[in-house]
Amino acid sequence: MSVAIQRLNKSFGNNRVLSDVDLNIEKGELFSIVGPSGSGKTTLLRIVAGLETQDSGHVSIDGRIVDGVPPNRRNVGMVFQNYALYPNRTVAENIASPLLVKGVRRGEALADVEEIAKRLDIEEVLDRLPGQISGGQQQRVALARALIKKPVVFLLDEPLSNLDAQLRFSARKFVRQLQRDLGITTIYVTHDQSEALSISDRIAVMNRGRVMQVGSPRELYESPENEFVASFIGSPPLNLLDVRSGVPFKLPVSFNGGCAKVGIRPEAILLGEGENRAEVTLVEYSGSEAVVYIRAGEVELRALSFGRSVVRVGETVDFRVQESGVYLFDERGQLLKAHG
Amino acid sequence: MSGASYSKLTGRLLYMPALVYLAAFGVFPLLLSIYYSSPSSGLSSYVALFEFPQLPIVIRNTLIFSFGTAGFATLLGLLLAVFADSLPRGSRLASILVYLPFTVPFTASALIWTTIYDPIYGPANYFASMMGLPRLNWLGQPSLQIYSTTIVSIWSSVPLAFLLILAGLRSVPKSVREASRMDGMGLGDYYTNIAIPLSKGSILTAFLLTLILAFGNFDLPYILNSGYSYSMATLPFLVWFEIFYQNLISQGLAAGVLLTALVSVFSYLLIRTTLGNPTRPGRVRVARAKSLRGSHNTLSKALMPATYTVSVLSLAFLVFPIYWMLLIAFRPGALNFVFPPLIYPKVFNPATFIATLRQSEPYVITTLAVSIVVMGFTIIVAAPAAFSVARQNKRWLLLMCIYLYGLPSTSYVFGVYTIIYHIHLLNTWAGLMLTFPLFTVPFAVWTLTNFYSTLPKHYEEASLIDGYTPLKSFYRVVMPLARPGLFATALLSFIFSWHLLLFPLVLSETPYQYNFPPTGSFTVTNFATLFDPQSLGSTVTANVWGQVGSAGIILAIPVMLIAILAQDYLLRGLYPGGSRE
Repeated sequence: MSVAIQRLNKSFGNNRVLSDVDLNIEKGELFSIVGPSGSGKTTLLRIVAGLETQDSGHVSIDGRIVDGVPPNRRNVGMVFQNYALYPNRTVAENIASPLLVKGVRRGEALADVEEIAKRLDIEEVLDRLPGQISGGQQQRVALARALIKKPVVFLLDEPLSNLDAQLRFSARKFVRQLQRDLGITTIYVTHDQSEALSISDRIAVMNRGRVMQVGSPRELYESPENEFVASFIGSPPLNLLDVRSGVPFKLPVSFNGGCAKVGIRPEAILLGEGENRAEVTLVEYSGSEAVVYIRAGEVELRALSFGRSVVRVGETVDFRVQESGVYLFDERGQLLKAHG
Repeated sequence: MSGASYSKLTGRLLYMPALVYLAAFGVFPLLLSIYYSSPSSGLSSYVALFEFPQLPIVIRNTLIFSFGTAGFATLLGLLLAVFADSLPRGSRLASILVYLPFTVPFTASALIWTTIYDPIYGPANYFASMMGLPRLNWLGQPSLQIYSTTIVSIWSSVPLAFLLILAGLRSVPKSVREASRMDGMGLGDYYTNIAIPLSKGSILTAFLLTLILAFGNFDLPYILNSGYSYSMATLPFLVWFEIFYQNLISQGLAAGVLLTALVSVFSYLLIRTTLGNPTRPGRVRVARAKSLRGSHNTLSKALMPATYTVSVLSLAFLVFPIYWMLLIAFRPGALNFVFPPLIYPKVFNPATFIATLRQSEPYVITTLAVSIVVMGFTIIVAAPAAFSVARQNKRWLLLMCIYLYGLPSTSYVFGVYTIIYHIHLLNTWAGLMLTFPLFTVPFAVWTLTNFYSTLPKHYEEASLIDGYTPLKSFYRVVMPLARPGLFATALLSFIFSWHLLLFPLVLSETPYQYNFPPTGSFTVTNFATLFDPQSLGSTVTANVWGQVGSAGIILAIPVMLIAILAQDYLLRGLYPGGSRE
C-alpha cells in the first residue's frame, strides 16, 4: 500500500472540514478524490503533501508514518491548480529547483531536466520564463517539476481546471498516459466527476468532510451506496423523486414504506415505448444525444435520447423505466436495494 | 469603460478641479520660484550660490542624509518585511510596532531625539557606552551632526519602506510559496530565490520614495539644527534659511531650483519604476539552460539568521524613542538629570502633560480645523481626477501628480508665500486651508488611481446600461464602491496636514486668537517647536523634556489612533493589489 490515511480529522476554527477520513491508496494506481467545493478534498490532499497539519489521525506514505514530516521529506511531488511556477526563473530553473535545493550538481540536474523535458515535450521552452509560454506548456512544466525528484506519490490538485475545454481533453489523456508509463501512485483531486470517471483506477467521493464511497468508476456509477454518490456521479444527473406519496407512473421495481426516494438514471428512461405517457417540456440537443425533459403528472424527469428520433416540445410521448438504473433510498439517503 | 463612453465635457469636469488647483498652487508657485531665482541681473544669483563657500558642505550633507536615509531605511525595511512575512502568526503585531515611528510627525521625532542625544543625560550616550564608545556630543560636534540627523531620518523612514516592501512580498501567490516548500526550499531559499527578486519593483520604489522624501525633508534638519549652523545644513534648510532668515531671496531660490532639479531626476526614475511594465513580456532569454542559477547558496543560508537578528535590534531601535517619549512625558523633570539615564518607569506624574495639553489648545483647534477642511477638499477634488486617470487614461495627470508630490516643499514655499501675501491671507486659517492640499491632492490622486484601477468596471457599465448618466454613475455607483480607498486616502490626507511644518511656519506669525473670525494660524507642529530643548536649555525647574514628550504625544496621538484603528483600511486603500491570492 502506498498511501494510508487513518481516521483523519481537521477543523478550521469551528468549521469541520474532515471527519474520520480513512483511505488506502494502492501502489501504482491513479486515485481520484472528487466532491463539490467545500467537501474537504483539497484539504485532504494538502495534509498528505504536508502543507497542512491534521488535528488527529495519521498519514503514512510507503509504510512510513509521515505526521509532522515537512513536505520536502515526504517524497511526494505536487502540481498546484494554478501551477505556482516561479515567475522569475526560467522553465529549466523551475524544473531543476527541487534538485538544486537538495544540492545536486548543476550538470547532473541539467541532464535530468533535459530528459524529463523531452518526455513532456517542453524542450523548446526551457530557456523561457513561465509568463512566456502557453497554459498547456505551463501545466507540463509543473508536472515536470513535481516529477523530477522521482517521488513515491504524485499529488495533483485540480491540474486541468485552468485549461480551456479543448486542451483539457488532450491533457487528461496525457496525464493518464504519463502516470501509466511511470507507474507512479497518484492522488488526483477534482470537482469534475466526469474527469474523475474517465481518468481514475479508483475514486473516493467526498461530501462535507466525509468519504461517501470508494470504488472503481464503474462501481460508483452502477452501484452507488447512497443518494449523494448516485446524484453526484453521472451526467446529466440522476432523477431523484420523493416517493412517500406515490409515483404517477409505473416503475419496474416495488418498494415498501421504508423507501423515501427513488433515483432514476436519465438513460434508464426509454422514450417512445412502454405504458406511461408524458408531455415533452424541453429538449437540450447536444449532437450525439439529447436531454429530453418530460412531465408525467406532477413530476418532471430528465431522459437521455440517443440516435435520430426527434421529439418536439409540447408532444406527448410514451416511456418506460428500465430496471437497471433505478435505485431506492431510505430516509437517511442510504441505498435500500439496487436493481436486479 | 473606455473614454468613448464619456462625453468630452464630462471627462473634463472630472479632472478640472484638481488640475486648476494644482496649476494655481503647485505649478505656478514653482515657476514663480524659478523666475525670481534669476532676477534682472541674469544668472548672478546662481553664480553667487556656486561661489558660496559653504555650498559643498551643504551638498555633501544633503547627499549623506538622503542616500543614508534611503539606503538604510530600505535595507532595514526589507529585513523587517521578510521577518513579518515569514511569521506564521504575529505579523500584525510586528507591523504595528514597525510603523509606530510613522505616527510621530518629523517635528516631534526630532524633538524627542534631541533629548535622546542629550550630551550629558541622554540615553544615546548610555547605549553607546554599553558598546564601548566614548561619550559623544551627537548634535554638537560638527563632524557627527549630519550622521546623527540621518539616524533620526532613518528611524522615521523605515516604516514607509517596510510597508511598501511587505506589500510586494505579500503579493507573491500563496501557492508559489507552497510550491517552494514542496521543492524543499527553506525560508532563506524562498526569499533569496523567489520572493525578493519578485518584489524588486516594490523594493526599488521604497528606495526611490524614501530618497526623494529625504531630499526634500525640511523638518528634521531644521529642528535638529537649532544653532542654524552650516555644518549640519541640508539643501531644504538652506533654501528656507536664505529666503526667510537671511533675506537673500534670489540666492535661496537658486538653491531651491538646484534641489528641484536634483529631485526631478529621482522622481523620473520613480515614475518609470511605478508605471513601467514590470514583467516586460516578449523578452526571451537567450542564455542556454546551462546557466542554471543556484537555489541554495551562502546568501540564502545567511538570510534568515541575519533577518531575525537585525529585526529584533531594529524593533528595539524603532520602539525605544516612542517608549522614551511616554516615559519623559509622565515623570517629574528631576528624574531626567541622572546618568546613566533611568529607562524604566519609576514615578507617574501627569502634571507636565496636562499643563502642556492645556497650552496646546489653540494650536490643536487650528490644526484640527485646517486638517478636516483639507481632508474634505482633497477627496472632493482628487477622487474624480483619479477616476479620470484610471478610466480615461489621463496618464499625464498622474505623472504630474507624482512629480508634484515628490518635489520638496521648499520648491513651492516662496511662490506660495507670495500668493498668500498678495491675497492677504497670511496668518489665517484660510491661508493654510488653501495651501495644504498642495501636498495631499497629488498624493490622493496617485493612491486613488491605484485603487480605481483594481475596481471592476462592470458595475459602471451596468449602471450606464441602466440609464445613468456618466456623472451620476460616478457619484452613485463608483464613489460608494470606492469607499475603503476614499476613507484611507482621507485619513492619510488628514495625517499629512497634521504633520506639516514648513508652510505654517512661513505663513503664520501668531497662535490662534479667541475672536471671530478666528485669526492666527500656528499649528501643533509650530507649538511643539516652542519646546526645543536645545534652545531652551535643560533646567530642572522647567522640565523641558517633559514638555517635549508631552508635545510629542499630543502630535502623535491622533495619528496613532487612526493608524492602529484603521490599519486594515489604510493598508487596503494605500497598497491595492497587495493581498495574497
